[in-house]
Amino acid sequence: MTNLETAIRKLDDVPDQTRVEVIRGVNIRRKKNGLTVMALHYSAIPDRDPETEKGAAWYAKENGGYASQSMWKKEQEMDAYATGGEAVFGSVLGNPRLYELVVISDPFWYPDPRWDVVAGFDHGVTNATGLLKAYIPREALDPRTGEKMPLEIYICGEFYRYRTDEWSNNVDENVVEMKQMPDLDRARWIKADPSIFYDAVATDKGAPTNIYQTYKKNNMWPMSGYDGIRSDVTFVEWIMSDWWKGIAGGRKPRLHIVCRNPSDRPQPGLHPFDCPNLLWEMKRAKRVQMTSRQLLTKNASEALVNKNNHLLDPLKQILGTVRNPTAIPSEEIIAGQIEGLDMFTGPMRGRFLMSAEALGGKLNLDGTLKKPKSPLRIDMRKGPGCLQRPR
Amino acid sequence: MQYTDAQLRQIHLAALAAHALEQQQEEFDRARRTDNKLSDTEKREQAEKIREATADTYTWLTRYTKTFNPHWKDHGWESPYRAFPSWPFVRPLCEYLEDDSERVKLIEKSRDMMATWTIAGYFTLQCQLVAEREVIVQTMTDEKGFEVISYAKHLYASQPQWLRDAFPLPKPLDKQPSSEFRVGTSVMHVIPSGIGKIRSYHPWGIFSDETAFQPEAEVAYDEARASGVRKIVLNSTANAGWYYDFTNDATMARA
Repeated sequence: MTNLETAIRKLDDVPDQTRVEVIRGVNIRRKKNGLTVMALHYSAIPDRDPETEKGAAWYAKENGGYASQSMWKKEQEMDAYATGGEAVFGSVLGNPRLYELVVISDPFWYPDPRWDVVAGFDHGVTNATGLLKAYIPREALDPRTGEKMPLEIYICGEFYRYRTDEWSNNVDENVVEMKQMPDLDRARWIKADPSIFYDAVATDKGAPTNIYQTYKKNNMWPMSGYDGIRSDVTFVEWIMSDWWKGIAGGRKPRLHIVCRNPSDRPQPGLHPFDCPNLLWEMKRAKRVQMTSRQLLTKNASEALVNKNNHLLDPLKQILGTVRNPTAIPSEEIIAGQIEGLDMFTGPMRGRFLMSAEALGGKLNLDGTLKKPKSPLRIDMRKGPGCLQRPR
Repeated sequence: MQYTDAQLRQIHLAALAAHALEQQQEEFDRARRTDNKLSDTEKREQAEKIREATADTYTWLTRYTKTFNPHWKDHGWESPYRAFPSWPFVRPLCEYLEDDSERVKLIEKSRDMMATWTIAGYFTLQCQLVAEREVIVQTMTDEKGFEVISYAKHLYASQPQWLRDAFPLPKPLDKQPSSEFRVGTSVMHVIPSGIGKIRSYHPWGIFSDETAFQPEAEVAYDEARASGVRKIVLNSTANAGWYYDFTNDATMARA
C-alpha cells in the first residue's frame, strides 16, 4: 500500500478538515462534501526543508528576500489571508503588528463590569443570524492631562448561527441561545435591521405582521430599528479613518475586537466574550469587482460585496448609532452665537434667534425650549389643532 | 568498367532518388505506425518497452521526458533541459491525480513546486495514451494558458524518439497553434477563464491552474461539474477568495 493510500484510509477515522500527513510536507484532508484536498508545502522538497542544513540555508535566503513576512506566509506557507489581499480591512488585519493593536488576544482580558453595553442584530433564516455585543467605557478624564478620554468601543461577544443540518436557525431556538449572552440583559439598546419591523410577514389571520413580533413572542430583549447611515463606504471610512485612525503611526485604536480563538472558517454558536466570526467576516470584506465593460462607463465601485456580512451589519449599526452626535441644545447654540456681542446688539440678536427657533417649531407654546429628545413628540404644525378633533 | 559522365550523373541521381524514396517510406511508416523492418519479436519487445515507459505518470515524467528551465544559466546547469526532478512528493501527487475514485482533485501548494508541470505531464500522458481525449486548460489569462500548453509540448518533444514514434503527432509541434497541443486524435487546449466559457464543451479533463487568482472561478467550477467532465484538477497557490474558502469549508449561505 502506498503512502497516499494509507493516508486516504486514515481520513475515514478523523473528522473533516483534519490533515493527515502523506510524506513530509504533503498532507491530505477531506472536505465536508467528501472531496479530498492535497497540500504541498515547500518542506516536501529536501533541499528546502528547514530541518536539513541545505534547506535551512534556502529558508534563510528566501525568507529574507521577501518584502514582508505576510507575503512569505501567503506565497510559501499557504496562508491565503495573510496579506489581506483586496480585503478592505486587510491593511490592518493582515499586518501582524497592527492586528496585535486592534485585536485583544489576551485570554485573561474581560470587560469592566461598569462599562455600558450596546448591541447590534441582523436577522437571517438561510443566511446567518448575527448578534454583536459591544462595551463602551464610561466617560473619564485622563489623569495625566486632565482631558476627556476619547470614546472607545470593545466588541466582545457574538452570536452567529446559520442553517445547517443540525441547526434549523429558527427564531425560537436562536433566542434561547442568545438569552445566554452575558451582560446583554443590561444593554442600553439593541439596534436591528429596520426591515424586521416592517409588517411584511403574512399571517393566517389576514393582517400581516413583522419578524420582530416573533422575537418578542419568544422573549427576546427589546430591539429598535437602526436609523443611522447604511452606506458600506461610510462604514469602512468610519473604521479606517476614525476608529483606527493613525494606528500605524503609534496612535491608540479606539475600536477593539476581542478574539482569543480566530478561525479560518465560521464558528457557529454563542461566543460570550469573543468574536471569531466578526474577525472572519472582516478579513473577507471586499469591494465589489466591476467588469471591464462596466468600468468603461462607470467609476470603480467602493461598495462592499454583499456576502458574509452578517456581523458587519450589526457592527455598522453599533458604530453608526454611537457615532450619531447628541443634539446640541438650542440655548447652547444661541448662547454661542451671541457671545462677545455688546450689551445693545446681544439681546436683540438673541431675540431674533429665539424667534427663528419658534418659527422652526423648536419652542414650546410658553416660550420655553423644547427638549431635543423627548420620549413623546407632538408636532403642533402638523396636528389638527388644539380645538379640533381628528376625524 | 568505365562510365561516361552522363552515366555517372544518372547513377548519382538514381541514388539520390532512392534515398529520398527511402526517407519518404520511413516517414510514411512512422505516420502509419507500421515499422515493417521490425520482426514480430522486436515489435513485442518494443511494445513492452512503451508500456513500461508509460505505465504511470511518475515513471514517464521522471525517466522518459525532460523539463525546461529558462533560468538554467543562473543555476549553473549545462543545459536548460533537465530530467524531471524526482522529489519525494512527485510520486504521491501523480498517484493522487491518477486516482479515479474522485472526479475532482483539489491542490494547494507553496510557490515554485513544479505542480503545474506535473499536472500538465499527467494530462499530456493521458492525451498520448488514450484516443479522443479532450483536455481544457483554464488559467488567469490566455497567455498563461499557452504556457501550460508549451509545457505539454515540451514534455512530448523531450521523449526518446521511439516514444514519439509510438505516439505520432497529426501536425508537427511548430505548426500547432500556441493555444493547443494535439497528439494522435487527442487535444489539449486553452479556453478563457470565467463564467460561461466552458459551456458547449464536453471535455474529458479540465486543468484549472492558479484557481484562487481566477475571477469567477466558483461559477466556472460549477459549470465544469455540470458538463460531465471526468477529471477536474484545481491547483493554486494561496490567495484570499473562493478557492481557499472552498477547500477549507470556510463557506456558508450567501447573503
